Amino acid sequence: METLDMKPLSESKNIPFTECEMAFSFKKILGRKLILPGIESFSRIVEEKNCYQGRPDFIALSQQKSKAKLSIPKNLVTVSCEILSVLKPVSSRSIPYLMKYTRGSELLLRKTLCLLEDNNLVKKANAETYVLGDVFSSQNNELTVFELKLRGHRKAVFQAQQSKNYACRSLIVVPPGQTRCYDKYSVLMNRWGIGLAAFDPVTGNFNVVRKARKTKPLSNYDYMNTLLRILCD
Amino acid sequence: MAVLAQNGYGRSDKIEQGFNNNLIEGVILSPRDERRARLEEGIQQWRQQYGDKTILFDPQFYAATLRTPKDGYLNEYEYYGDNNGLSRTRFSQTKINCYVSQCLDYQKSIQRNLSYITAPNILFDSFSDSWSQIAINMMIESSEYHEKMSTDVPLLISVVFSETSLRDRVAMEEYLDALTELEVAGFYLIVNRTAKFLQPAMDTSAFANFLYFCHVLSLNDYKVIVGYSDWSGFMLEAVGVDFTACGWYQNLRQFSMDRFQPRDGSRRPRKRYSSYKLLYCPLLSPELQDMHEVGILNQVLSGSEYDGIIVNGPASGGRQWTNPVSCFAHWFSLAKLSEIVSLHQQSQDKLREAISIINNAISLYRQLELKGIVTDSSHIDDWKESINEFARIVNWKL
Repeated sequence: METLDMKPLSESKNIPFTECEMAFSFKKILGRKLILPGIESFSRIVEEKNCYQGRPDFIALSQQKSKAKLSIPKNLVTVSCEILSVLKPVSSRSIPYLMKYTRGSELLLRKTLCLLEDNNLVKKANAETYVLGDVFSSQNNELTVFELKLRGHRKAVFQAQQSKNYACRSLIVVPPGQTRCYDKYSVLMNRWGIGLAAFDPVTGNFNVVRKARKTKPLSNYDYMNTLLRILCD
Repeated sequence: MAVLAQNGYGRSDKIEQGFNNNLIEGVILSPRDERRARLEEGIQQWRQQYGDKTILFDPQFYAATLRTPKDGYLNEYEYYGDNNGLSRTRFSQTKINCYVSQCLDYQKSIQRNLSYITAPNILFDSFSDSWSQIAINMMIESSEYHEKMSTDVPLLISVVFSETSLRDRVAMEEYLDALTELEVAGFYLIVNRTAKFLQPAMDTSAFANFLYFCHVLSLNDYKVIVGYSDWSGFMLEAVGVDFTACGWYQNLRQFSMDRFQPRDGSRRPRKRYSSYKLLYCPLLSPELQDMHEVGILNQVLSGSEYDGIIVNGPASGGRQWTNPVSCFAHWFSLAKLSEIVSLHQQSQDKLREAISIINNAISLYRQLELKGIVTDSSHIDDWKESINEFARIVNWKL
């Protein structure tokens, strides 16, 4: 595996590895089966190499039926996400409805809907109304984020909270000796369903200390945006 | 309502919407951020459509003393384009006459659409340094030149000083003595903040002295307009300030000369909601979402028409919470605070009301804390301390 280009080396006195080394080892165990209770395995794992955008270190997509790569031009990603965040699996939506709740013109919406239909992301309910395609059913496309941190506990919790905008599960992963530091955030983590796990990159041991509660993503748009980014990658 | 829009880059139709929705009382223009033709066209249109609104032109001459400024379209204006990169030696009396006359003559050419003519000035870091004396010379020259101009449009003197200068009250009072000798309509004040990132409260004693500075000018029957004032506007209004101003981006809410310096790009700021009850802009996610989760959201909402976007979940409404919406919601909150304070006639009553607003915010922060939501409220304590210090200076019992 190639070297990772992500965070500056830790200057820790007590932790004998860097955040970069931790991420390097963690990536290997993410490929294992049943790493988290209730999840068979992850079909796709995206590693964030640039940390300045406040993204988590790893975003993992649960097993999905279709592993086909999507093809959506970059200039249509935003409007695609807007459409997908408005559409429902069963109850259909018309083009005037989509025009009201997205910011696209009729022409742009029609063009994008055709593209999304080709990618099986939407399907026609009848001549002029649409529903979400088969690719989208929540149990097949759950996103789980892993926020790796050596220190900066408040920041880890803050970032895990932010990732609940699009993720079903959010888990903070820390070295084994660091889990007690999160006791003072237990009320907050419980309210947000944020999990905590200890990971030792030397031995490869991974223990879930606090289970990440599965919740619906807080922002449908952010969820669709992240999901499309992963599926188009 | 005494809130003006601090104009800057990315204006689009925010000013018109602000006028139409009665969120702002006027606008302070920024020549750095607009092509000259577009800015002049805008001024003309606003005057025709919104006749009674206050329209000011900030000459931004303070950028002329920087070596390699990021000055945008300022070079399209002769008063700046012919005279930038100025060192201290370039402020002889003859030169000052030239800078002032060019700037005031330009504003005279568009005067029928302006509410005030604004004098050019430079930034100084101390009320007793040589730059502050150059600034005084520019003020005197502006006042004299304006008297000779055949115009009915009143003159505002710009005073641009650093936050640290306000710590020295003795020097500040001496400077105030000089300012109150000037025969002008009023002052346009800008404080160059020390903090490089948005920080609502100034140093406590500096802000107390700034309140005093504004109060003295107001007592002397000058119009006082404070630019880039953001949340502190209602406290300034309580001590006699006529207008305060705030824009849409961070650099239009808090003034820093960094705005005129080349710098690296930064990431898009996270979305925030302006709550006049908290006197703070919590992040839509996670801060405001957290308040929603514990059922306390309604207590922090300001009550504007834009609240509908986030009332069912701030994170899910994030997509609709666009930059213009965020700006209008912020102006709404500032206008609301201004409205509450201006219900009183007497300055002391206004200041008591300002303290009451701050105390309400403190108790709201306590409620949030009890629910396990921790947000930074240190600025509130700083403001309260500054107001108490100001009250001690002017011998008011609050």
